[in-house]
Amino acid sequence: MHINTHTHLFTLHNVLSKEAIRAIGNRLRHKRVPEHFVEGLENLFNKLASKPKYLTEDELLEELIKSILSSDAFKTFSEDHLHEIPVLKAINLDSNKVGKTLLKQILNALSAWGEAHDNSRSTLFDFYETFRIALMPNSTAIADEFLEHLQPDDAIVGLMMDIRGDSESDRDKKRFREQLNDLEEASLQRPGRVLPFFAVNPKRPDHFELMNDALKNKGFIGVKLYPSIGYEVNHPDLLDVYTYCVENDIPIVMHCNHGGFYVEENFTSYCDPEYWEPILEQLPALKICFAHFGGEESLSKPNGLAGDSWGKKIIDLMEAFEGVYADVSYHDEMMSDPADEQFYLDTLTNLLDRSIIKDRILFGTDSWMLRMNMADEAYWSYFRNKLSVAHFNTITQSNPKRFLGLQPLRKNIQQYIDFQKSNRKNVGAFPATWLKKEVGKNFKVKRDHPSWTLQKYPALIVLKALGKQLYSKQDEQAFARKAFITMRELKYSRFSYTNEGAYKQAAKKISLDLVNQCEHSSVNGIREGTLTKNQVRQELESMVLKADTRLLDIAIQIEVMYNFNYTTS
Amino acid sequence: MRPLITFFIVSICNLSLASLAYAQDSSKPTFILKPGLVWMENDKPAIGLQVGLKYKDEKTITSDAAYPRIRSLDINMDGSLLINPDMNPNTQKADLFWGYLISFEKSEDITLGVQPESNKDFGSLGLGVDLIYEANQSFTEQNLEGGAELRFQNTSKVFMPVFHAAFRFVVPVVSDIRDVLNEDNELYQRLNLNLSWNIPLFQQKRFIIAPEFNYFYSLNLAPAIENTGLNEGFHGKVNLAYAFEGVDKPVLRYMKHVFIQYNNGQLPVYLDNLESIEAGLTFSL
Repeated sequence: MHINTHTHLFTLHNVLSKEAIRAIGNRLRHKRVPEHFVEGLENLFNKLASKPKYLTEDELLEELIKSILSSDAFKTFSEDHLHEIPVLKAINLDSNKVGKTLLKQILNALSAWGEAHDNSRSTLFDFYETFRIALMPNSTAIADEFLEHLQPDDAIVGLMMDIRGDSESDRDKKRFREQLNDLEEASLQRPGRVLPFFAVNPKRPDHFELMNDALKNKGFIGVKLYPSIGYEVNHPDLLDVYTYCVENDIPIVMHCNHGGFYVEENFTSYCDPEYWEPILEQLPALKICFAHFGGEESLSKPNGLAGDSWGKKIIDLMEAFEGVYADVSYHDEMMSDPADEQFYLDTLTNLLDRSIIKDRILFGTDSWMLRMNMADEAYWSYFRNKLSVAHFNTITQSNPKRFLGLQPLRKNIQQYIDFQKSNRKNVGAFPATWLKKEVGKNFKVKRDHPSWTLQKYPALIVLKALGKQLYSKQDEQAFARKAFITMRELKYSRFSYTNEGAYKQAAKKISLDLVNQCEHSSVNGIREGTLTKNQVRQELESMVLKADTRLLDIAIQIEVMYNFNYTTS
Repeated sequence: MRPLITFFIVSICNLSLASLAYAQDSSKPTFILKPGLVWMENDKPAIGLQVGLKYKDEKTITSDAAYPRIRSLDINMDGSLLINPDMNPNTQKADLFWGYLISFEKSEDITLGVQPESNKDFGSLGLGVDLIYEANQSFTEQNLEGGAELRFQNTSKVFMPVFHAAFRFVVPVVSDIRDVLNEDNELYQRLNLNLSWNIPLFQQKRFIIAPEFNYFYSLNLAPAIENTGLNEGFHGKVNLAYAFEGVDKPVLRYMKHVFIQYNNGQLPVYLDNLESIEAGLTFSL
């Protein structure tokens, strides 16, 4: 069982607050991403925040290119460099209509140009891939992206993110709850393979209650901290969290490098490991992992573990306290510099041979963030190839198991096992071997798709409004199978061949019935952002007119465009 | 009227121009371009072009108690140019429509955890008033029409026909036939009735048979015109189609459907009673 202790399984829709958009922009600028890309992405995210929409891969490509081409920064860029990118010269940049093939050509041309000329290590294609994953409909789909290339018993730690400022809109508050529920769902969909961590942000007034509930009742096994969002680790409320973690064997993962997400640049200093010395003196049994090992430079630069570097402070803390760990996530920059790479691998190897420290280093990827530079699978492959088998197994097996409380079994994992046991008759996949062994009973794989479930309104709305369009044999199918019925299989689509007027009227009627059902008093769907009733209906109408659209896709779109209140039902 | 049997294959390559609009902007005009080819017996292939402009402004009205509806204003302009205008089966048309679409399906209560019964569906009614300019490609017949139309359909009932009716006031702006008959282009009224079915054959539902019947009757036509028999006409057609859509094979992937269609009768802007068989395939790239 190999474990990736650092992945992000939240969807972008669930964190897309103003603070988050600002933090994403800051992160990209910090990575020296050209301004026209950053501005284009910010424009796209602002649009998605105000008019949420589930984008297919093709639609994302369109939106991404359009946002970049229409940004002010791109206009400035194109004045100087347009002549160097023939495909951009060939098209009318102000045109609202560009075909899919041309869009792909623009993506490739801008990626190639960026690779050759700008200082960023990310190309436009990398951004497209990153946000293709980030904009997936749910955490389970993202988890599957990272589990796909692993063995059936391998696992990933899924970290939540709580990017909130001093104040928060009701909608953002709800988004956080949705993120929490979505990750809980992912852990039930992939039992024993998705190990969720709850994000604590002391600016959230009920963070402690939510954390307690997640750890005790929702199968969460750890806590995630991200101080550069705008809080200090010695915040008085956090001391209660740390005490709770010690009492309940809860490990903490804290973002720890000089970049990442930050709302203000000076907030990055909040991640300094030195703040932890007094905390750990007070709570020496606390388990904390300094993610990124203080930054890749800790291992790749000659002075990375010297003086008052963050790397040195982490090593000192490891030697002083038994619960201090660090992970090697998102260490990719050295891969392109042979000297740095050799230094990095030598340092890491030495640390993995050094007493105490060898037991404290964890493997993590930081996907989907990592995808801005590298695919998750490639990162696994790099460490598997560059380290000895023993060292690779140390950072991916024995150390993570100890840190997470899997071996020896700790209270947090016992709670996780109890949670999975109580839900074992309704999971989404066969459990990992370790979990099956611990539970000692059979699991039943019958859980609905996370976006097509009787426990949420969208699928029910689709069946209610569209049910009469199903032929009798389709109607007799199991609920789960109906999700994959496409528009071309429904009764109205027969008009698409010979009677365009009737076909279009049918599509309008169906979209109208869907919106009417979404806004019915028993459901009381509230449209997200600034979406109008008309815009929602027209979006649904365009989906109904596409033969390949599945009932599931419509449910996902409704889930993204509407906010349903489940607490009163 | 001598029946003319014509066989032509129309192959339309739909140029799929992806819209970059973020969310559909209802008031944004859209342009459509469709190049095509037409073959006719004993004749060379003719190249054609269809262009269109569309604008719409819609308001969606939902309701728990009443039936939901859409109030809409639509403007459509469709042009169809063929090297040989006489062969062009399409008309030149500009259409302004204002009206409602009413869905006869009320939303109902939903309970979490329970797979719902579908809502009762009694179809939909589209009705409104419109103003239309219509002509053949040579512009020897041009009409300005205004009136009301309605379309009732219930697509969830396989054997229920689509009923389409229109009553319009027609001003023949240009009419060669009237010039020949030395008649003025006086206003008259025309009633159009259309009844059509689309019925899937066999279990597979890829075969569709689609009969369609059109009837028009004109009131207050000049007697000389009426004597030509242009005041009343009947047109019927039966289309048999096989849909390739969704087939993931190298060539079939791009083909939408193949069809054969029998047409017989007279349409308002054509003076002859035509009998024809049309066959072809549609594909999109």
